[in-house]
Amino acid sequence: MNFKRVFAVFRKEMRRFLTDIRMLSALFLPGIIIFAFYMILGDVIDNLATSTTVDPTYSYKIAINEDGKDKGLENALLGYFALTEQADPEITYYPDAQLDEVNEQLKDQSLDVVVQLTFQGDDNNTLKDAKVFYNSSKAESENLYSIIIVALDSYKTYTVESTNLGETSALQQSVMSFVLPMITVSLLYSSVLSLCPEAIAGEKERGTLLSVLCTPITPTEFATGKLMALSLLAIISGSFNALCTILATPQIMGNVTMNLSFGGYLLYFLTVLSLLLLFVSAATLISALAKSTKEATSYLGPGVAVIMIAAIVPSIVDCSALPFAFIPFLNTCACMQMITAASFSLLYFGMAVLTNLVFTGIFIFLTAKAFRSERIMVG
Amino acid sequence: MNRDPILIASHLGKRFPLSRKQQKERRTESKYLEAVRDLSFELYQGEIFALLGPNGAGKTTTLRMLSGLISPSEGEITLLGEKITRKTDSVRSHIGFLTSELKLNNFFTPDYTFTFMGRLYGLNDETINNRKEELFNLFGVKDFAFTKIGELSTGMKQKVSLAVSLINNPDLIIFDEPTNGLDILASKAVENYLLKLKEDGKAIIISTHIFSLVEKLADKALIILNGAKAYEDSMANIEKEGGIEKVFFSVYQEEKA
Repeated sequence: MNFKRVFAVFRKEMRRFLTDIRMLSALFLPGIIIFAFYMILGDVIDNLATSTTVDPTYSYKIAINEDGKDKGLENALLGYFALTEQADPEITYYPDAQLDEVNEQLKDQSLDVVVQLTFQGDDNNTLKDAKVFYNSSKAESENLYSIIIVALDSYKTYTVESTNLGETSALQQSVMSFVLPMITVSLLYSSVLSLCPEAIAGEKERGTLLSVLCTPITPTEFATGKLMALSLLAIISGSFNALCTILATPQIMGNVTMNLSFGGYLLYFLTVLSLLLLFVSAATLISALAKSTKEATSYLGPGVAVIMIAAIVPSIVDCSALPFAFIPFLNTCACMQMITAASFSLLYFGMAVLTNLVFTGIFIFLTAKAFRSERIMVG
Repeated sequence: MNRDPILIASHLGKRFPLSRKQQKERRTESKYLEAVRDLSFELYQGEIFALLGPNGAGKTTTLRMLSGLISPSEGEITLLGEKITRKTDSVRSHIGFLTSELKLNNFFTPDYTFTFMGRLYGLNDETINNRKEELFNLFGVKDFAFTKIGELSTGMKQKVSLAVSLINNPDLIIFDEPTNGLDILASKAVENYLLKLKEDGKAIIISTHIFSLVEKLADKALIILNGAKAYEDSMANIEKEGGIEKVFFSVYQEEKA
């Protein structure tokens, strides 16, 4: 193999992609868009959450049935509002027979919450039953409902003190480990999709491949140069897009902090790398077999849907058993999820990366064979 | 000058497999399309050889086999004593091939394209720059050497293609419609350059539909019809028979009959 010729093809491909604004956009724009979109969406969600917070000067309107008078609820509420430096609530009492009427007031939003308390015991002071009516279409009503529920807790004979020491909830972590790999793999695939059909099938379609094949360069040298350039470009673009996703996805989920160590990030990057090589080699083979960019894209395009579906599989099926590590792509999605969920095995990870590399090698071998085929390359 | 043939094409044949769809379209039961059959000729140093034939006669397939892009199904081609097949990459460094099928990358400038192709031929930077200077001056490429090829006119692109095809100072030059799309001045420059190359002892094959070009340049002419050699003679004899145009149409009518 003449490495000068291989390097000439490599340099030409790098020049082709890195000096063309259209190609640069296709390579790096998805990550930038995802980053900007998630940041904006995260802000919007955050603002929406903030906008539902009630003005502290607002005076809540509460209706309690007459049985609940002087049973401590009023004092509990007044105490709460004084403590949180909010305006005193307007508390009124109604006879039980008028429940429907006060509920009408709740519906037309002139009241915020209606409470109906039933007591029992010798002194009629033991709370037997509590009904709380609220109107979810009004933020103040929803807010007050939560306060009342807390206030009613004081009727219990015990209290529970809850303290959350984690930065991210288990649910958020679990959603992250599901969402992040899915977005990462689809972005990686889109990077490859914008590279391979253009670089391989595009050359055939435009007739520029024949010009190259007329020179002393061997098909293997040409394929090697192409694969080297495409892999490097895919790594640059894929890593950039993956980084944008990693940074932006926690924002959309309420500023979740990624519970990943440096080692975790490194493993995640290596997983991404092995998957990129697998994608590039497979897409190069398919592009070599196609006659035009359009044909190659039509073969590779539906792959996005397949990949997104396959990325979900490890969330539904437990793929952590070692045999799954030998299934390319699925093993990588499982690895990504395990790394994100901080529950990975190094053996599984090693086997998965190795499997991807073996399949990459097979695809490269087949691509070189395709490049040597007169029928495929010259037509 | 050495009078051993530089190129020997011996009983060349090329069959392309047909898919079932292609068989239906062509209304044939044959599993192969015989594009070229039993084609033999020799070419000497300092000789210009014209290849003529109507569309679909097998000229392009012949030129592809001669350039090493495809391998013959039958027979063999030897250039400077070395057999040409798709797998013999070294022999391609002795060939300069120009055809309308070969396109240059629209995203690059003629300057970069020349350098890139030079590297594929294994030339060093100094040789590439010297050849670039010579050929760009000759074909008038210098004025637009740094304009992207995609922005050039058809004629300008043809000039760049001509320069690129000669980058390796080839022993065998295969030109398919070399003056296609060129203006009068550039066409004249190409004609003069081909004559200069002939004087330098290069062997040249031109495929063209322009009879006047054949008469001006060629030493020998070969007419292909339906994939087979229908006629071959020296231009001196062709002149005696009334010129290439007359010979071509009489051979064509004979074959048709």
